[in-house]
Amino acid sequence: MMTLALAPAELKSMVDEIWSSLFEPAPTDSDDSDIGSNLVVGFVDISGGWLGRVAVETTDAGAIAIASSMLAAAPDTLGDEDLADAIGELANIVGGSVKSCVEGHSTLSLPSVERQNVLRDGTSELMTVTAHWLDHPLRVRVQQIRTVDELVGSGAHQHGAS
Amino acid sequence: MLAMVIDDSRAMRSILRRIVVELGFDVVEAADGQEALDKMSAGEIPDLALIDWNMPVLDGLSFVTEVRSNKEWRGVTLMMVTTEGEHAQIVRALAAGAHEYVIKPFTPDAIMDKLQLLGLVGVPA
Repeated sequence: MMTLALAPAELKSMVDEIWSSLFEPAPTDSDDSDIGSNLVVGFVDISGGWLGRVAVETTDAGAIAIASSMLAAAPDTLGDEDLADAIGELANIVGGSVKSCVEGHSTLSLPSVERQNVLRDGTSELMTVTAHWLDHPLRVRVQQIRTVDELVGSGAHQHGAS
Repeated sequence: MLAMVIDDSRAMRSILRRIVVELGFDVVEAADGQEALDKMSAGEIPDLALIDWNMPVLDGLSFVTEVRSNKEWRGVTLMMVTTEGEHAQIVRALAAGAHEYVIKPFTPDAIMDKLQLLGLVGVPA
């Protein structure tokens, strides 16, 4: 089985680089992995030799700030579609960077956005980066999805796949 | 000159629009490859197309292949702007007829450098 050659410190560097290319100011580090509930969650799935999910999570206010910056639009002009578009694209970019660390060929799904925990049955949390941007909490999570053989072997099953 | 920004994300189209407008382009947008082909068939033929790879309806690689199969569109410069960074995929895109390739995330300077290499914007004195 192919592997993901990515360490937590490298994921943090990735997030910092992505942020610096898209936003100002740079995000600040945070050790608090609990960023609250009712989050806006953008995610993409990586499939191929390695199966996983990359999620970008923030609060409503964080999503509005991100969308406002990406769209160069006033916060009060933004709707839910704008927030989903911006957070989804951010997940797409982070996911693409994570995918570059997968050995061999793999594919990236189109991004999805939900307002709930997107950790699937049969997945395990590999690493998490938390930060603050403009006082808004951010969390990037990389999850590994076990193979079908492993799922059958453990008696677990998948549902809710996008 | 006219640039067509082809990406299913409105946020990304907005970012790219601002960059190429700053470089002097007029801009038209499309949310997928098919919408871009439809606009070109209707006469909106750009000098430059900035193309995402992973899009619904018609992806960026298929768009490049379609454009390159039409002799009337041979003057369109094609630049992939995508999260797809696998070497083999980059080779596929270039073999299909893309002129340049930029991996997201990118800076405005990275886009400008590529357009200077393509001769679409001037090099500062």
